[in-house]
Amino acid sequence: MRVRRSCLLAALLLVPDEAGGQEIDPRERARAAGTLAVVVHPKCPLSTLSRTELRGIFLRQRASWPGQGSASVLMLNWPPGHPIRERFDRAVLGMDPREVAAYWIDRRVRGLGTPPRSSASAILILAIVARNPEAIAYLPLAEVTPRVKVLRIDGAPAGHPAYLLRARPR
Amino acid sequence: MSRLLAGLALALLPALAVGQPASGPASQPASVPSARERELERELRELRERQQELARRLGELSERQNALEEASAEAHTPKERTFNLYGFFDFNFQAWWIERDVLGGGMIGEQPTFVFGNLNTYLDFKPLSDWRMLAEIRFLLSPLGDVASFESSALGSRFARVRTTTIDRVNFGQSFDYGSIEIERATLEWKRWEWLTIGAGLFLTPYGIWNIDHGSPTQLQTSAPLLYLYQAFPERQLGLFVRGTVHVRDLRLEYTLSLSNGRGPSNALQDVDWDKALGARLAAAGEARSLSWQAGVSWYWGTYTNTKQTVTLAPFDLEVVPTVKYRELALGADLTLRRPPFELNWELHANWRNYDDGHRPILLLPGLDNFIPFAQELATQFALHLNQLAPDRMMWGTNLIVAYRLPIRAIDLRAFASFCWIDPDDNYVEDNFLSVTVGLNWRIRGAVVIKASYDLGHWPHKLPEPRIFFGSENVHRIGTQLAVAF
Repeated sequence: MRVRRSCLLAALLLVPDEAGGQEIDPRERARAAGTLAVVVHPKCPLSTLSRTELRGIFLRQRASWPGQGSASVLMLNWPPGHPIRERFDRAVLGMDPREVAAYWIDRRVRGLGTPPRSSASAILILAIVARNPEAIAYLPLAEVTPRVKVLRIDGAPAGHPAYLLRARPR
Repeated sequence: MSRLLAGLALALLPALAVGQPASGPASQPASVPSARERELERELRELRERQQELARRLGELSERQNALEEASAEAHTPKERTFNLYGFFDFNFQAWWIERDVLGGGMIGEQPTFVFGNLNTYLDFKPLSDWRMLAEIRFLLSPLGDVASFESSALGSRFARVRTTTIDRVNFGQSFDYGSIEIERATLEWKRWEWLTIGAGLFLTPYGIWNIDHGSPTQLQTSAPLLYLYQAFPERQLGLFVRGTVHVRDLRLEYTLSLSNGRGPSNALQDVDWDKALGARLAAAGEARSLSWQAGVSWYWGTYTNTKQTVTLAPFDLEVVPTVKYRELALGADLTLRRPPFELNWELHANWRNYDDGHRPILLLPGLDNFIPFAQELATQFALHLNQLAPDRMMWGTNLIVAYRLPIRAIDLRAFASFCWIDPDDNYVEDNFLSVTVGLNWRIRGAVVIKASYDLGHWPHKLPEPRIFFGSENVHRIGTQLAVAF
């Protein structure tokens, strides 16, 4: 119950991006080492994304779903410094935390807008994705509920040996 | 919490089941319950009431949990209406060294000096989901103490500085120096689809690398490549633009089209001719293995017109007469390649300027008419000209920067070198210019950047006589910069 409540409290602490720098809980590291799932609303027409498309979405270089030019994408991130965020950034964006921080600052200075909002709560991320057909996010596969749809990456389903965000061997 | 309560209820069920009266034919004769049985029936009733209470509380908690999740999701789903305030600041230290000084040393100032660079604030407002207003405002300490005019006994002019000191009405007896502001851009955009954004206002011309990178935390060098002194494209324009992005497989294509007042003596206020300027940019970006690349081409076509306004008395009228008029065409190309730890930026600008006969300006001394406005003022004040009209011209220049991220794990330190070649005007004098820069760029956690560089400017052809601006073929500069994004 305490864990649940603390999750809800954490849910209220959605932070703007680029903060980072906090202590990392070993349990969070363990969470991040598992398979990460990319999730969308069940009504989202897509079932798979390529790594390049995923990268474009999470770098805000692509503002609509592939092949769906009019639908805008609402992406949700984990906060900078969070192990899940760091793992996703390295695997999908090919960037380390410093490069990611610099990337978003550069975009702001160029007048291309601010980074997406982020949350350290899987519950909140699931709730937002479940109520927004244009939302996309990622979280540990073990915490995914049937309220959202899990996408394949480059055609590989979560858990497949070729899946980009599969669990890291310990 | 709901899982815990559900578990508790499930745990109670077997106990409740044990307490259930055995189902059997109704015709069985009822026996008189013993004291033990009455006690068990009482416990059973209490357990049932407890079960109902727990089920009710479980339902309430589930509802509250769902409501909280919904409320959190609602509260934190990005809103249509948002306002963000951010910006950047840089502080510089620089020193010039001119081997043989004429006017340049006095104008630039050879004394090592601290320089207040940029304090830019962005007002980023989304009144509706499809609309965005972006204003970028630069605050300056200038022009306090800048040179307003030079002293010359021959011309009878006196030396004067700009004075912006005024009385502080709040702190009695004190004074302060007010600065100035520059609106870097102010646009309102409507974006319904990724492939179409329509905008209006004052916008930065999308060309090259420096003008798009725009801010000191993003730019690699401590100062703009000298190529940008010549402004082959106007730095910003007032008008309309459309832009968009389309994706073809893994290739990203971006376009921009613009219609503006173009370049002019007061283009930010109003257009003084009927000709509007047109601009376009097409860029493509993609990735191949660990190499990411972006290539762009830019185009600008416009008419520059300057006028003078003369009052006539008979008949009484205000006559507007063109004094300078030229058509210009600018082309640009740029390429960015990134393959960590290497990065390469290359850009090329060219500008063709064709004057209308009858509206050609007097030709200033070579190198001055394209140079900083300060130098043009100086030339105008002292009538430094060749006593002939300016010919049509074509200038071009290119700048190449190569950066390498040093293999130091703890810090993001990049060494860079750049090469810039400019042919300002090959129609009337050999005044080609070359500059080479080497430096370091240390990015601390993305937001704070420390830079240091050394620049060598060189005229490979002997400068023409009389040497007005620089007396030697070499100019040196050391620049350092501390930039921060906030």
